[in-house]
Amino acid sequence: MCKLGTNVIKKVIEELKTIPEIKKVMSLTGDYDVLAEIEVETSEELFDIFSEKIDLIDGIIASNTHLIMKAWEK
Amino acid sequence: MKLPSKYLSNLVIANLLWSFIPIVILGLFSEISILTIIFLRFFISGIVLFVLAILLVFINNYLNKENKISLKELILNLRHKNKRFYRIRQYNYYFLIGFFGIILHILFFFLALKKTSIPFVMIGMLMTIIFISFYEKGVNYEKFDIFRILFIIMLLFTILIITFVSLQGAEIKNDPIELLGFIYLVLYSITGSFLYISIDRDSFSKKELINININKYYKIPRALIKMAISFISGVILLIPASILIALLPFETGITQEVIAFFNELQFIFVILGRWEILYLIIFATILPYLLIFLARVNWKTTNLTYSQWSSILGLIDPMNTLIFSVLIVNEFFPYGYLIIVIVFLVITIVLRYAHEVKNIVHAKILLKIEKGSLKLMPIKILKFYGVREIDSLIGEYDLMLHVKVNSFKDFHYLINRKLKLIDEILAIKVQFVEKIEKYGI
Repeated sequence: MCKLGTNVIKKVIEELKTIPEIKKVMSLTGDYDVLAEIEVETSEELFDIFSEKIDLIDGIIASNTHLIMKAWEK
Repeated sequence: MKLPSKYLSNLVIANLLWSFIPIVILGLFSEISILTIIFLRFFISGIVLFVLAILLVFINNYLNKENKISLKELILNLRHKNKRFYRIRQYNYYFLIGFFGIILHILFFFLALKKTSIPFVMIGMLMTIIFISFYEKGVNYEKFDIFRILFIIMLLFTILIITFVSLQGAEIKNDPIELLGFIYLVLYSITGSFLYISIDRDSFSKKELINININKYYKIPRALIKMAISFISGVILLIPASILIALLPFETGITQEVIAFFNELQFIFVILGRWEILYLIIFATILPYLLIFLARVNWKTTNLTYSQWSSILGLIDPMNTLIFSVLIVNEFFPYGYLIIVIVFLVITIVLRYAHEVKNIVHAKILLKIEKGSLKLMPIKILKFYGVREIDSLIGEYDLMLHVKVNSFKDFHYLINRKLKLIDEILAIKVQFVEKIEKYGI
């Protein structure tokens, strides 16, 4: 989940959409502005995506990462 | 917006297959009792669906040894109390759907068809949609927004045109539409409304939710068993109901049908071999239901849910029936009026789509929960209306709920009347989803 600066939401979303490991991007209203779902196989891969791609996107002020351990659905 | 195209086509095909029913069976009415047609269609389909469910379980357990589906649990779950349907046991719920929602619904449909004409009976399908809209408004499930009001107006106009043309056709053919035919039509709409309102009020037990998360294909045999039991129990009750009607001291509208039904029982296998009956069983019951269940299980989380798409595309059925009744069986319906009705129904589909898209509250709810409650909490919360998926997280929060409800009233109910009453939930953070910008592959 990312907090963004002003007037950058469209640009940030477009850049996030180009990252293949990001499977889903949603614009939010609330404390955070964007939710991106990333699918990786190892923590190294997650680190690489963060350090080489997401961290370089201008406009992301702060991010909060949660790892999904398990998913339930009905 | 990206459509769940692959499985959306399942819904379209199912509706297309259903739309041929009146055309296929119309010629049967003069030879075979309506009750015999219903008995054969649902009894045989019920048995086939049940056997298919058992077979699927065995195939799954043979191919997928790690995620087996327990047949015993599937059967035991029939005793589970349905919390979304007056807490009655599942088998009673299936039975009510089977008799009142399916058997009586189809009985009145066929009776109306016999007494009136195919275009006139289409009014019943449109009335059902209007009844359901008013029911949802009445129980505060949904509000009447501009799109819903407009699509009801469009439906009313369509009903007026169809009524006008049908009465004109009846006058030309010198075969007036009887009041009894109209009464059957209203009863068909009422039982149809019951079916559509109640069929989605299914509830999963805790064990079932665990099973679904181990193997999502658990839903297919479960759905097949649900339909099989509904069909068979409905048909079984049809027999004492028919005896009762035959014993009445006065003649009812269906007494002759009942007598013919009992007389035809001795030729049941000969009748079963007729292509119209086989079409009803295979292409109008087993195949469409399989397509629908497959779509339901594999439905991807997009802006609209399976149920919403199902209600939008449900209008394909009356539209196609009307077109094919004119083109194939030459029902009276001048092309000018037919085009107007089709345009109206297409606009109604678009308005209904707009209504469904507009009426969605999509949110992610982040929860912090008490230590030691992680194992039980997701299953408990997953049962709440609107909670579609739950992820357990490592990070600032412990759970993320993927929520989709139809109104803020429902959302308020979920937060304040459900989640806030759970002691183990320490903090709740709501993030509304404005738009889905990219979808999973």
